[in-house]
Amino acid sequence: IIDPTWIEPTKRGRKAADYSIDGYYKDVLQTGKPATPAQPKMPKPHPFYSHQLQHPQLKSLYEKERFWNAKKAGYMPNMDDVKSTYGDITDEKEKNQKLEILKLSVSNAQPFTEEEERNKTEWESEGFTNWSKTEFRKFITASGKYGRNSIQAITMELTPGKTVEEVRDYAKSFWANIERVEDYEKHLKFIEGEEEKIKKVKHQQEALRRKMAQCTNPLFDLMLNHPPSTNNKRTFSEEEDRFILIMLFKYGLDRDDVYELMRDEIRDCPLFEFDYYFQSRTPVELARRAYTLLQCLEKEFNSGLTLDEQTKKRLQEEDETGKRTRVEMEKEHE
Amino acid sequence: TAASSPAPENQEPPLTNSNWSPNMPLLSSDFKTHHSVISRLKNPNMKPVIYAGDVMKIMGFVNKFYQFFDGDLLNLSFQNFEVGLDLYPGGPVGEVAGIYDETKQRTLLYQDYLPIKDVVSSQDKMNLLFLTLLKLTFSQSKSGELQKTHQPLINLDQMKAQKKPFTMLIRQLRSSARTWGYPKEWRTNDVSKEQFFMPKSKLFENDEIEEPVDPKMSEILTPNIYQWHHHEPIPLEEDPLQLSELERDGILALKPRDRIILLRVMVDWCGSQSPRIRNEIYHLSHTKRDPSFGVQTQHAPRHLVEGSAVTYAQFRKLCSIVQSRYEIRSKKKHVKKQLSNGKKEDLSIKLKILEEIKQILKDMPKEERDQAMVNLYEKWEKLFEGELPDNPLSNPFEDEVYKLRQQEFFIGRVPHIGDFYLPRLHAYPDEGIINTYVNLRNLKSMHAKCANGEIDSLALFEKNGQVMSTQFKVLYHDTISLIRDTAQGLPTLGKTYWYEMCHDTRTLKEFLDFLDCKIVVSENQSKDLQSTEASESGPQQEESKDESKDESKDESKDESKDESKDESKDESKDESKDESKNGLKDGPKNEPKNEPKNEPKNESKNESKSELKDEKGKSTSVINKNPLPKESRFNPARNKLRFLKDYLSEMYDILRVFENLREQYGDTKPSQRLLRRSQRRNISYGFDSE
Repeated sequence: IIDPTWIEPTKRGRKAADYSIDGYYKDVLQTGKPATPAQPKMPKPHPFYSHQLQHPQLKSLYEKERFWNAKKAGYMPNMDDVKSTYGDITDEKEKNQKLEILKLSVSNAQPFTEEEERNKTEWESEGFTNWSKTEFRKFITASGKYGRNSIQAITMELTPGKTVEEVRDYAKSFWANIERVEDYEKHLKFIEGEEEKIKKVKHQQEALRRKMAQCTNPLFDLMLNHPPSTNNKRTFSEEEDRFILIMLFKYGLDRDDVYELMRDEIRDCPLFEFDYYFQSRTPVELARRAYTLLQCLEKEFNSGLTLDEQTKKRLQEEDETGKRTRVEMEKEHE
Repeated sequence: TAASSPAPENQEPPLTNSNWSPNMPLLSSDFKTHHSVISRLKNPNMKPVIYAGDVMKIMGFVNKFYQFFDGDLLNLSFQNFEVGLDLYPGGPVGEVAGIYDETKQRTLLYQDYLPIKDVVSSQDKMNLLFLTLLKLTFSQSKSGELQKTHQPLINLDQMKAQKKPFTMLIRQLRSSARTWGYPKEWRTNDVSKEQFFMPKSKLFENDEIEEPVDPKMSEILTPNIYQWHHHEPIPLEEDPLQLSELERDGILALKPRDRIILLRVMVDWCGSQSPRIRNEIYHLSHTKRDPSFGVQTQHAPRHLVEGSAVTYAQFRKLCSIVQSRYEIRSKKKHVKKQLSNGKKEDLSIKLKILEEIKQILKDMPKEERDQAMVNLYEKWEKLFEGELPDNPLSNPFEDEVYKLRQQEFFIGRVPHIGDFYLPRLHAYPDEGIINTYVNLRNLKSMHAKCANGEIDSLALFEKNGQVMSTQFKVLYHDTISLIRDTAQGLPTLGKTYWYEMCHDTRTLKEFLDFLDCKIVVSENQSKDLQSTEASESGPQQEESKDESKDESKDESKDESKDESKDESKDESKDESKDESKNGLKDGPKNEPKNEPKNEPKNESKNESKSELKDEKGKSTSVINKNPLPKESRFNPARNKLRFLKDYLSEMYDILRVFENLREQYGDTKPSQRLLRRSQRRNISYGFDSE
């Protein structure tokens, strides 16, 4: 399994060989200033990252500043600037229109008013400019891995750069303003998907706990109401299945080495001394079987568990309305 | 053309909803409510053997996957392991340093009373076994395909010819063994059991999280992250696998106890790592059909689980069902038409066979009919074809479907006592040798031949008898305690569930006499027994239901008791129960609630008595000659003990011949010249004895 934080390195390729002698002695030969004076250039747009959660109007301020700077330098926008500002446009007509707009904006550009100047400094202090893109990416994967509210755990993945408090502040702001983040649907979907996985394991753990509580002697009487599909060839005996579940319960699903421990338990247990099939199962194979069994178990408790959550909510609501009516009744009595 | 709703007498009786296989599952739940009392079996030949399970596991592995092992390993006896690895039975902890000899008044080692040649030969075999397991684990060649023929990876001569056969393989083993999982004996236990799993150790962060950052989803999924203890192998300097002598001397470089541990864990590693073994296991676990009793953890031949009488009875029952199936079918309209048209050739042949059988049985006197049914097995077998894959009398070792989970060494399961095993190799390869792993009918005839001398040691010698284990042990497995401990999650490390009951034909005879003491019943009970036996399985099942009822009460009491006291108490309780029953006649049955209340009183009274008795007993003899308690719930146990006794007394003659073979011929391989000479010698034998 590839770690979600893993970022594929760029492909290693052969560097273009540069045999030009002029190029080689470039630094030595061209000591002075370039002969031709630099053409005025369109200032680059100020970097603005949506994940830094800065004031949304700051971006338009930056644009205004940019056009003003261009006007100061006496620059006339061209097609390249259209491309860098609006992206690739295939329609020729639209391109020309956009160019006109650019030209207009530059010629109409005005310096900041005092209020704008004030807003700029204020808004610039607001966001999270110290959150880099990679840090943001790590934050998203960690939020999925541990669940969005597990700030301590998320911080652990960002340790050298961020403190718990920094992460907490950012997370709060992130969830409050998530719509402002570019591609937020994608990020949200990822996090929710990962959180589902954690919840599923918790769900299974709970189902297992309840199943065990039903049995006085699980080695004999643990029976699955929805046993594994009969379409597949059965290779584990029911007793072995029961033992797998007992071991899962004993060590817990969240333990990372649970299948190694299970393998050792199987080998240690004299009950399976001559069970060459069971003893030859590797942790991966045991995990596969356990996954199947847990899903069967989940099916059994699915209705029960979700119902629980719903009723819990309903009960809470009923309690509150009950309280309210009581207060109202008391008021009436007064 | 057939009628839409056939009349009931026109319906063929079903065959599928019953288990007709020659094997029976061995379920843990058989012993669910039982309680074993080891002292019941006390006798001078009974010794706890801590390594017995390991030896049997290795023998079972060699036996099942014989095609990878050399012939020199396929005739291993339990004793070869003991002599070869310097292991001595008797100690519950496994630290016995020899066998105490009463007459010489000192402890003897194997080399003190065995020819040194024999000791060395066993040691060589152990090293060959070790080397084969190593090679098998790491051998990649032909790993993709299934090995069908007997192709040992290495033999004794090849091993001896190599200068350093172990070096490279041991180094390979060292580099991967730790990730494959070390055996429990070679792990450090510096963390207590509770510390190990219940409370999570090493808190990564010291507190939980307060308020959620996203109010819409307030659940905190990871309140904390924990680190866990792992199973740690012992430090390198104490690790037996790191011993440098291992590369040179092989398995003998280790301490005796570690030797058997290493061989056992090699079997584990080999099973999970060797591509060839994994192929084989995959093949055996993915057979086209399943046994009719489903996939069970383990199973054993029917005639050993249920006794030969029941097995024969089941066969006869099956015959009558098959017979009526054919008869009903042949009467059907469309079948008749097809038959008269000459279609369905196979059916008409089968019907002819059935007629033959009926004719033969008709002419028989009634008393002989049962036996005749069995004697006509070959004819019946043809009738079973197409109806069901096997029958109670077919060879339990023949069908691949049964191989993986077959308990080849199993010889009997006795309620309230446990299982018995007789480990001898060579259950599978069939080379026309004289083998005891055959179907029930052949085993009976083989016994007859051994008993009347038709098969003697010379006959065995001629027929390559030495490819089988020539020595044996009968072992008792306290499965009941084991299952109880496992179900309760109690530690099993360091406990012994294995006991040697005998180790040669002389002690086997003593064991058979001993079994007689246990089977003895009073007059009243013998009537009971007869009735259960006569009606075979039906009433027996009913009985076992009753049994489980009154035992569930029993169990709740037992569990509350202290482990260590269990043994002696239970024994005294058994006896006390007898007395109270005699006094009350059938009182307890009418008032079941009284029973548990009465018990403790009786117990406390009787305890001191029985202890005294015990001490007296020790001074006079160590044999517990007491029969099993008289209660009816022990009747099935008596029954099963009788089956065990019957089986072992039949095996006695066979085992004796093998023992003679070893004494007279040792390891000599039969050759043309030798055979002629030994045959001549045999004549003078007869002359001498006359």
